Amino acid sequence: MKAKLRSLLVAGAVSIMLSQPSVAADVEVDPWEGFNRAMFSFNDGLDTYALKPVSQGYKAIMPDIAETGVSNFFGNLSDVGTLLNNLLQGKFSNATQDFARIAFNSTFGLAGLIDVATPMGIEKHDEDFGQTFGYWGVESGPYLVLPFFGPTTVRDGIGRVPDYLVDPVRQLDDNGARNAMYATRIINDRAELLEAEKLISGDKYTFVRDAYLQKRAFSIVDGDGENYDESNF
Amino acid sequence: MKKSLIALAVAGAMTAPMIAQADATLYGSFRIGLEQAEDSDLDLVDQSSRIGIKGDVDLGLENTTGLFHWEANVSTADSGAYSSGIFGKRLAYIGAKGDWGKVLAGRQYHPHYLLINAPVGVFNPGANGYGERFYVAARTLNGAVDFKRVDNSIAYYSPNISGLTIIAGGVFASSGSDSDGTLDDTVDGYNVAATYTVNGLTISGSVASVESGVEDTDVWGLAVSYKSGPFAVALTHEDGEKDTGTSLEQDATHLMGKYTVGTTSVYARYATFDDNSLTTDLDQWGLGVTRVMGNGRVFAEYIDNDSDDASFGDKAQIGYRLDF
Repeated sequence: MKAKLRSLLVAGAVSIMLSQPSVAADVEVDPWEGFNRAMFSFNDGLDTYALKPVSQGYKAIMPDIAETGVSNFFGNLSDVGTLLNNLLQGKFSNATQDFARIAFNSTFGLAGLIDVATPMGIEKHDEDFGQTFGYWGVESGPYLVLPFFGPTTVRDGIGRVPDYLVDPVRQLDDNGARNAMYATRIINDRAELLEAEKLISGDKYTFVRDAYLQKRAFSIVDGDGENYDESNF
Repeated sequence: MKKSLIALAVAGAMTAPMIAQADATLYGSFRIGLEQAEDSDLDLVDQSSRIGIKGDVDLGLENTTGLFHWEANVSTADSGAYSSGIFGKRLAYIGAKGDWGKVLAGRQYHPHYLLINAPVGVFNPGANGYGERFYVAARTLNGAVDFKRVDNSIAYYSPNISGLTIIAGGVFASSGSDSDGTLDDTVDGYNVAATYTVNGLTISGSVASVESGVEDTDVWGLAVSYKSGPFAVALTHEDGEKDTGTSLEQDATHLMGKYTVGTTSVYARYATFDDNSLTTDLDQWGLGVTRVMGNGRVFAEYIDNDSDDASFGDKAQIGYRLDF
């Protein structure tokens, strides 16, 4: 009972901290808020009038099984970057699992359309160069919203360059096929967020920024951050 | 109640002598793969599926137990895979073991293969185009007597003495023609080998020879392997010579690395092969991953064979294996 009460107190304290970031903290993590808000507004307009309607149409038209197949296909491609970044971070166990996922999903899973690795018990990871730089100790730098690309930080934004270079889709020689793959992936990614965005409340800009920064901090330590250790309270 | 007692008494009387007689295990491994070879169609291939029976036999001796082992190939892919019937030959030997070591007689694994080749044999397919391609003794110099599983042989394995095991064996095939009196009258082949293991490091050496009437084969090999936590590496070298009137000399070096996480293993292997009848060395490298799930496993493997060697193209295979 005592432990349960303590958990409740901890949860309450965390939620208060997360939902009411101080103004000082805002300035520290988001010194370019003016620019960022302008870019956010641009992206939000683009999303509202173009990307979101297309994604909603995609979700409405596509059978669930095909939607899952497309999602699995791009998930399998993303495992390539994850594998590389796990190697760069010296996480050989995770890299081994990534390699196994790619090998089995690309073959038994019919070019990645079926995710056979997950039911086989091979865990999926999510790594990119921004996380690798963070793992190496590079500070995130200020929060930054890029036109078209959305929320990032200076570190993660730079990380997108090598992410792009190792993207398997980029290796496609045929321009038309490559661009079709990029477009499908963007629509697929956006469609996956349709449910999640219902959680957004209050100032959308602040919500997205805080959610992004917290998720990145969480991802860099693979969810093993000291903030989540109850004994620290 | 009375019937039960009688049944128990009968069962007890029958069970006791059976336990004293033998302890046999029926086992097997079924393996099938879908292979895409260079310039070929997809092919569903059997990967050395086998069944076997092995066991120990009480000899009534204090320190010695009898043993037997039979194992045969069964093909999951091709009905005509084994021309002699439904089984392909693998193992059939009997022996005895005790604190003095063990002696095996019959068709058995050649100790040279076990010590020098097996440490780098990480690929699931045993086919020639995969990892076994450059096994000098067991494959490329393959003469009348096989250096992988050898007929008509007797081998003695010493007990493990502080990590050291010494092996000595002979082949008594009587297969060669001795009309000109040049053959040894007793032994058609021999093998002397030793292996030493300490703290995950294993060092093995082997010298073997076969005389079959028309050709003499001599081989030697060294193997070093090391295992620490999830990492395993092995380096082997084999050197062989076969005299069939003209001398054929070959040597091969294999390097293997393996990393295991839980039941998932990723492995890579590189091999280089030199033959005095060829103008260039041949190379092969491969990469594979295996996931073990209970008594089953799946694997995906790729082998890149040297482009100068037309007889072996690149190969990729996914496979499924069940053991019982």
